[in-house]
Amino acid sequence: MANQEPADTLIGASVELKGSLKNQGSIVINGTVIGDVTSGATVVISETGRVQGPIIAKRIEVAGTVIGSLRGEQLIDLLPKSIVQGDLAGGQLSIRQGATFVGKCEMPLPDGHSHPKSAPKPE
Amino acid sequence: MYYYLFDTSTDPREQQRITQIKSTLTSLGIAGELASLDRGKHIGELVQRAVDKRYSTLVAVGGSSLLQQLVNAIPYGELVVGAIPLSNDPILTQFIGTNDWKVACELLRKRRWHDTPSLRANGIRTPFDLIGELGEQGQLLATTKQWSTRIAGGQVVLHPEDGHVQLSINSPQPRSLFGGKSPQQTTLLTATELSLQSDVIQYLRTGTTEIAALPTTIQHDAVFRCVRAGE
Repeated sequence: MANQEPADTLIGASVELKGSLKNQGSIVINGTVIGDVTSGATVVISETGRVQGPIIAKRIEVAGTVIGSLRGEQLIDLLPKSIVQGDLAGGQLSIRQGATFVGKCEMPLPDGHSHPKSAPKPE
Repeated sequence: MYYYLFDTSTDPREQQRITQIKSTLTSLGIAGELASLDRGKHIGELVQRAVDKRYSTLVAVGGSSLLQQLVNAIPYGELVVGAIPLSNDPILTQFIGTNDWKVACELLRKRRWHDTPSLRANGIRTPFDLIGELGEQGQLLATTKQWSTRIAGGQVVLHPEDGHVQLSINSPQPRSLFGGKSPQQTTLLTATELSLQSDVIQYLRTGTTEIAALPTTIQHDAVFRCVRAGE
């Protein structure tokens, strides 16, 4: 895991939390969260971690399982063996070999680029 | 300026210590009014008397239990609280940073206070951690307006911080069949107010004070000024 910040919110592997988990600092999830997760920094879902709900953060690193959308302002990183079922929207996106991703992906284009026009329909 | 609250003690060694403390306080130039919690006096009355007489520093001479009662009794404001240990009390030692009464007297002379967070559990204000031991069969439901979590076994610690309470859950480590590394079992969460419910719990206490009734509501409380070592 690339996460360097000490997490001030940490969910242990045997813990299941239901509801809304919001924090300005980093969040590390080794257990289960059923609900939405919001952080002003990094959210890390470890190999034993599971989230059922949307995640919004600056950076999101997934090694476990997420069923829900991911919105990472700076980065979404899906590590090998991660399973994500939900749409991704992020500044940068990394899907490592071995990761499973089912969903749509939306990324902003770099400055000076516009979305390509749809291909002309054959006459 | 200094108002000293003494635990009533029948232990001759502690009586001797109290005499030594009184002498030291005089030699340090911080002798003040001495009040003893005997003859059915309530700490609230003594604190009110100290406030009425405009004492600015209230000192618990005794153990963590007396400091706990003092913090619970002081009004919000600019009063400074301190403590002088009478005997070996690990909770008080950890809190004020010394178990040496002479060092504690010297700290009081300097009157260097720190903003110190507190929490309130079932209406009791405390500067100490609230610790719950669940045992093997114990279960606890922690609920806030935002989330809830069921805790099975292990220990919970609620630590007062400025503006919130930090909840640490130390879950029991599962046995590994293959001798592999067990996953992280500590949980850290923050809340401004949370409720604890349980049918089976070994104890829930802050300092030496037992929080008898569950469910209980725990809230962060205002910081107060406390003379302690360090920083």
